[in-house]
Amino acid sequence: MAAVLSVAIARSASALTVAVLYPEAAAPYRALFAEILEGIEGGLPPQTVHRYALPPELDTVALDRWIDRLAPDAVITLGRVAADYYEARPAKKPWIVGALDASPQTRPKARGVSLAVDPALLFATLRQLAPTKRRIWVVFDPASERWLVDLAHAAARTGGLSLTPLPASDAKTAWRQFAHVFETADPDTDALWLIANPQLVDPSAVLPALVEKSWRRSLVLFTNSLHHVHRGALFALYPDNRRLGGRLAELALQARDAAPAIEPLRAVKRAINLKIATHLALRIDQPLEREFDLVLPPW
Amino acid sequence: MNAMPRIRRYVLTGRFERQLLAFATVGLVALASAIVFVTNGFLGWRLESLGLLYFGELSALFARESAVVFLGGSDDAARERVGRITAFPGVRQAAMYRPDRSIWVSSAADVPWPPPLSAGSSDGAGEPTAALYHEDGDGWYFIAPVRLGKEADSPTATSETPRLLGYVGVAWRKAPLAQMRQTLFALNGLVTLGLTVSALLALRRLLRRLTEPLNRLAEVMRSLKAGVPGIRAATAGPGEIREIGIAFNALLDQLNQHRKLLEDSRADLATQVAERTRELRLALDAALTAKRHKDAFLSTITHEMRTPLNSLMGYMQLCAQELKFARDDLDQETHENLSDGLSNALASASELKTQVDQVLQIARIEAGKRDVKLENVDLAALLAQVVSTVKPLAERNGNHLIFLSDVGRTILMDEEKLRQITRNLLDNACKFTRHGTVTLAASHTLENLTIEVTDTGAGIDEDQRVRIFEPFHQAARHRTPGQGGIGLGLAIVKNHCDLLGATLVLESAPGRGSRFRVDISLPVSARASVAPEKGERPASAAR
Repeated sequence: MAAVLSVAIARSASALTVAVLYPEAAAPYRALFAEILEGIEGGLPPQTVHRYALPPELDTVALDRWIDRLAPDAVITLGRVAADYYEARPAKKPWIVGALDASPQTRPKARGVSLAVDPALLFATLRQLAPTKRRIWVVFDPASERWLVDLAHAAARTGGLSLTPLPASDAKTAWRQFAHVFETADPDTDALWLIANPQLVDPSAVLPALVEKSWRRSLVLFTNSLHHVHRGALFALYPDNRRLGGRLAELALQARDAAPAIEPLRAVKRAINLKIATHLALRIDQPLEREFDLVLPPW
Repeated sequence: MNAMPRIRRYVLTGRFERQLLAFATVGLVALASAIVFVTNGFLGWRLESLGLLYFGELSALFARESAVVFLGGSDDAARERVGRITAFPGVRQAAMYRPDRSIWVSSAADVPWPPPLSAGSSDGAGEPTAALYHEDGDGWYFIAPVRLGKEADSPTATSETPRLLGYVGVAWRKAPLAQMRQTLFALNGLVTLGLTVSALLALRRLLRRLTEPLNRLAEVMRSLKAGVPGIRAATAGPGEIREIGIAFNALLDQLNQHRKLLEDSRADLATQVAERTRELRLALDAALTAKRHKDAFLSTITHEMRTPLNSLMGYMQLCAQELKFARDDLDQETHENLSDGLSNALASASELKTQVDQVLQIARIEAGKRDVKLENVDLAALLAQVVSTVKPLAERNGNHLIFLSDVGRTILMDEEKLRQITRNLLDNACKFTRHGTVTLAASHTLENLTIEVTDTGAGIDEDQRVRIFEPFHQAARHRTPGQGGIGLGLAIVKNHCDLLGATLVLESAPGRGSRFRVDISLPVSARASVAPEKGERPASAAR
């Protein structure tokens, strides 16, 4: 991989121009985009990256003119607004999507990294924390998360786990599916994988109810959202923004040659909620605790 | 209605401290009232605003917490949730609505809910978090949409479209807020009242401290007015009061000095007055004694002089008679010499007798013998006799005596006094007129008798016209050598006029003559002798 990257850099460094479109976001997203931008610029030669911050009232004409004048070799879009804009633009340069819970099902023409964490990494962490768990329940949206469930099936088989995916196209269906999980799952052997999809799991209304039910049933709940850990999930894998930016830079260098594809997030950090772990009677020793990037104390 | 003027008078005429306290009380009470009403108005408005905000937030919270109930779609769960919301303090009713705003579950089926204002959109994207959509006398009605996805408004999320699940309606009671408002109002009023009373008490104490020196000064002045001796004003306290006290004490010192001087002067004066009074009393006694002696002397002497004078005149008339018979025995020259001498002696004796009579008359008048003796008088005969008597004197001074009489009957009159009035006025005119004309005019009606004597003599000066009627007084013209008299004639005239109730008028001009006019009202009363002693001047001067 490093050799390929070196060759690519050597080959294209002299003339490469990468445009990065990102939103003018408020905190805490401002820091998120800044770290990703640092990662992109760190992964590309100097003078290669040209930023364009998208204001809330986007002037698409001016942006079109800017892109036309710049004539970049690749365009990296960060966030939904930039992606929506560039997806609607007729003439496209190679396009890399980042900082978005993108799905190859919904954006087949794009390349990039989704914010959906690779299930293999999630299951590995689950095995590390709760080795007794054998079955993983997940409620997913077949329209946008089928690809993720496919990856999960493969990862489960590799890890000796069984995956029970329950499709739900809307929040009501998802709520009924979650109710089914809580009625059926065995807390000793089962765990619930919560995909951070606000269309199915509303953070303010549904998430607290799920956390409460899992707490009552002592069911392991893991997720790919740091927010969920703060609200009561056992652990989460969440983006390492600088590394994510570096991966986007790699994809930009390869954009001329590679076919469009969105890959799951593998540049991650790990967070654990010790309060939940204590409630679940999980044994988390000091060396294991130190492997996590963020540890929420048990009080 | 009449209380205000009384209060106004009570305040404005009261003590300085009371006035200041009254004005300060009115001002503080007005200020406190304004503060209470403004503060309570603001607090009430603010409390209601915060209450509505709080109720809206709670309604939105109820809606968020009810999302899973909407997702589950269970009627039982919905009823349980509505019951839990209704049990919240301050909530009167609660209800859940479907997305089309039709009632799904209500806490009180018998209490009708006001309908939502309008049918909302099915997804609720434009709905606010919670809104007050109805208000009645008992409560506020909030409605809060229940939706998913709104909080997932993340720039990293694929979609941000919220989805409406329904509505939660919450009716909040007004009573607790109103009760809290009343409590605040009462508390605010009590605190303000307490502060006002405290401020007034403090102000009263301060005013007393400030006005105490003034009151002490006023007390000193009252004591001074009441005559308390040795009083002094205090010279302590604020600068102005101290200066007033010092000035007042200096004034008191000056007053005391002046009073002492006045008392000394009064004592001296009293001593002097007593001394003078004693001397005057002695002088008066002496004068009265002297007057009695003089009256007695005059009476005695006059009587003693008149008797030999009458004898002397009788003998001289007898001699003149005898001389007529001896005309043949004497040569003519001797006879004429003796006759002239005897005639002159007789005239001088007659003059002397007249003066003695006048002196006797004055003496009698001053002795209080002032009776009026009325009798029938032949006025024409009386006046003719007087003219005849005076005629020699008029001729001796070269005067032309004119008698104008318009009288012709008998009247009831004091003959002797009328005779003396006429005689003395004519004597006076003839005596002080040289080579002129003396006119006696008399006239009378049924009510009045007028005697008027006019001369063309030297006249009488203005300043002499009153004094010539005083006894023994002669005007300057009277003291001309050769013009005899002892200054009693006019005094007797005036006195007799007073006795008869007559008016005596003198008109005179220096160098042009004089006119004396006597008007006697008829009939003359026997009691007309009560003549004015002082202050009244029947005789007056004119011209």
